[in-house]
Amino acid sequence: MPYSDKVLDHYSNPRNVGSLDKSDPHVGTGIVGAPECGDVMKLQIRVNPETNVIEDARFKTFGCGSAIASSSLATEWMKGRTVEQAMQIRNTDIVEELALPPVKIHCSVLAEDAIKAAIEDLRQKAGTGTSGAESGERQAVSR
Amino acid sequence: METLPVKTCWYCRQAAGADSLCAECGRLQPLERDADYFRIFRLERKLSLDAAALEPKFHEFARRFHPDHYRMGLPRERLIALENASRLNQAYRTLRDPFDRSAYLLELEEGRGLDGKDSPPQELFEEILEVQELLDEYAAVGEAGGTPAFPGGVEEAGGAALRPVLEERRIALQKAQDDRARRLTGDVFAAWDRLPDGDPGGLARAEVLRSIRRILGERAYLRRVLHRLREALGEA
Repeated sequence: MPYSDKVLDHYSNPRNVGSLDKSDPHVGTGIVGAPECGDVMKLQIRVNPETNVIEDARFKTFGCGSAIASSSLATEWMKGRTVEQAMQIRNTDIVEELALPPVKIHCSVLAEDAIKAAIEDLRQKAGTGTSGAESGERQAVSR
Repeated sequence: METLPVKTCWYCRQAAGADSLCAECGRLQPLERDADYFRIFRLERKLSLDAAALEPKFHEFARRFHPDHYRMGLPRERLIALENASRLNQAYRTLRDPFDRSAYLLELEEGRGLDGKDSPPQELFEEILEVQELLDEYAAVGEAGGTPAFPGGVEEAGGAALRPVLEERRIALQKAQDDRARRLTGDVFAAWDRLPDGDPGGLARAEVLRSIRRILGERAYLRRVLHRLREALGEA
């Protein structure tokens, strides 16, 4: 199946590859995976504690071209947004932007999961405690 | 061995018996609509299953359902033969493989297979991302090799140093993969098969299912990364 131009662009010229300091209190790290295909995605954001704006975002992805493109796009979109705005990014937005075919939709789901996991990590570090409700919700989904 | 409930024959309306052919008129009967794969083979829902013993049973059923036998039969009978054969094939392919069999058990018991909604193996993820970095480096070296800067090719460009590192990772990850397979088909299968019947919400049961889910998940990641490593090392 041919990749769309946008996927190819992100794949051959990925934005924001790399790592941020995991121990930095203003850095949130999310590592997620999809056992169906074996893809693993790490997404990190650094947030300005004054403005709540995401100043930097980095990713590392083990996976296919669509997974790499999805995470690359996610970091691009997150930069400059507030955490609350980033939380609104949906996998369907990624599917649309990259013109992902149905068999690759799970790559965009993984990217959305990674965004949420990174934000969740940040909130846990800050101790603002939305974690209880969030993990409860996730357990409900998994059951 | 389970006994199947007595059904009414779709053709003669008599009690068809438990066999796939009606005891009264001999017409082929459909498999129970909601029979799971274990039940199709008239097996208990156990994991330690002898794949060698499954095969003759499969051939026996497959012969019985073979659509060729029903070429002269009623249209409905031909359709039943086709549907039975197709479900039988699916059941056999799933049950004969210990990993597919385990994943199928998760679906039966918990209504969902492997789907990433489980607590992810973070350490393994870190390791996989490290391997990804090494692979990127190795690929970059591969591209640099043979260029004017490194006329000696990949080896000279640094590939000679990286290759054994990747080789080492491959061996370690393969071992991790083998260990998990052994644990699943050994201890975990035995633990499942030892569970008493009739305790669907039991703690021990939930614990075994969780182990199966974790091992199958990790195996999926390991399989993928091993494939990539073999590809890169030219062993695929």
